[in-house]
Amino acid sequence: MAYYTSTTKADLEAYNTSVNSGEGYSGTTTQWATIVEHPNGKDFAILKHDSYTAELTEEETLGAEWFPQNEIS
Amino acid sequence: MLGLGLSLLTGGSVSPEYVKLSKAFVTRVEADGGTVDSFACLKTDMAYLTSNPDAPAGYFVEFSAATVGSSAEFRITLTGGAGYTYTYAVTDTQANEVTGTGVMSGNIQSVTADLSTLVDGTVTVAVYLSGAGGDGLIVTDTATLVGYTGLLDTYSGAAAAYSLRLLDTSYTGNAIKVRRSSDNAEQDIAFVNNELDTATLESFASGTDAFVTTWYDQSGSGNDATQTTASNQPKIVSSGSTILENGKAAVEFDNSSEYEKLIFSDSVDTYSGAPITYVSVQKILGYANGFTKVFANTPLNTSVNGKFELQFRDDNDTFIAVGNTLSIREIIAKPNQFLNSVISDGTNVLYSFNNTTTFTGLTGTPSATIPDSNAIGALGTRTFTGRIQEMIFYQSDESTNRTNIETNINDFYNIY
Repeated sequence: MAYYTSTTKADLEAYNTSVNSGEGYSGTTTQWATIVEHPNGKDFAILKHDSYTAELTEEETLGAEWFPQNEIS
Repeated sequence: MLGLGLSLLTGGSVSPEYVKLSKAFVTRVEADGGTVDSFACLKTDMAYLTSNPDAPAGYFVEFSAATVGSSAEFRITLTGGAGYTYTYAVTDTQANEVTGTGVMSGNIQSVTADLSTLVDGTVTVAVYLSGAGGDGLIVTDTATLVGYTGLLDTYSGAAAAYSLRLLDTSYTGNAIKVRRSSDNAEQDIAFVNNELDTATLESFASGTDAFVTTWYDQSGSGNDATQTTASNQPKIVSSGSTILENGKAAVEFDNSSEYEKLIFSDSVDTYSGAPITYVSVQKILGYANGFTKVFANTPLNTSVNGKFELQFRDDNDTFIAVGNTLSIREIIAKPNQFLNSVISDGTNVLYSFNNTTTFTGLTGTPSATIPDSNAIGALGTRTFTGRIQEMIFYQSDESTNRTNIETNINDFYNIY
């Protein structure tokens, strides 16, 4: 699944809101996706819904640098 | 207990059990001119016997005990009964039934019936014998079926327990809550005959996909595992069909989203270094960036000591971390569904794979920071890709019960 990225978090929040409104989630489900914040604090991303498009930068996937973890391996 | 037919012959009170005659006997009784739901069938049987004097008579059936289990024994007794064919049906209070037939080998014929498909409560066995003279009377007996004992009935005290089978017979809640893709409506799905009610699930999904929003905790601790974000919810129905693994319902996780999957409260302590027992049944279907984690307690974007995680690499390397260290690392092939356990007594860690191989290691440093969640399916770029059917946590060292717990699980899932 692809992602939309932006340096403006509000743009992604607006996209999420538009999906939520269109899908009409209720009950336990409250939103389409979680906005991912890059560790640099400047970039943001959200999973793209196949049925909703936006004028945002689209990325096929997010690199591991978006999800730094103290991996044990 | 006297059988129904014998009660009439001896002039005793008429048992209300006649109303419980099995569907299996409908054809025969109606062919004799009676109806199974009326006293007429008894009179018809009596008339039939009168006009068929050579039909077998004077026999009775009785359960081996007042309370029977899933493998229930009953006995048919008739002096000189060898050679007669017996036909039986065992019926529960919801009209489910188990039927069978055979030939009497002597005066007493013991029959063992698999009642695992019947619901607990009163069950009625109905039997008649057949010979050259025709069919004999239908005789009955009743017993109480206590056919199912959940894992947690025997090994109680779990801190969190997620499964698509009933783990505790005292648990009266649902198995899961699901969201269907067609209109995002949600519905609880319960258990039927101690397993997930897949008929209701598929009816609700109505040919579309359904996703798990809540995997209810059967431990009684209220640690339900939930996911409020649609794109992070694992799938349970695909195009109208329940996802199965080795014939049993399974929750399917993919790595389409890097965020946590089903999360439950950190009140289940997987971080402090206290004793813990973890057991899960899963199958790996793929890897993300070469790895897949079935469970992890580490929050995203933080470096927290006190990891508890099971991480598998695509070259079969297996990483078990308890505390801020790699406790166990072994090459273990996992091409199929498997059962594994991690048990820590606070110092030593044991990892069991399919109840056949065990490995040992040491726990790491307890966490100074409490993780913000426990995640089934983990999170980050190594999220789980595969199917999970059961995951249980004890806040105790259950090493003395481990083999029996794993045997209980394997008896149900038939893993190895």
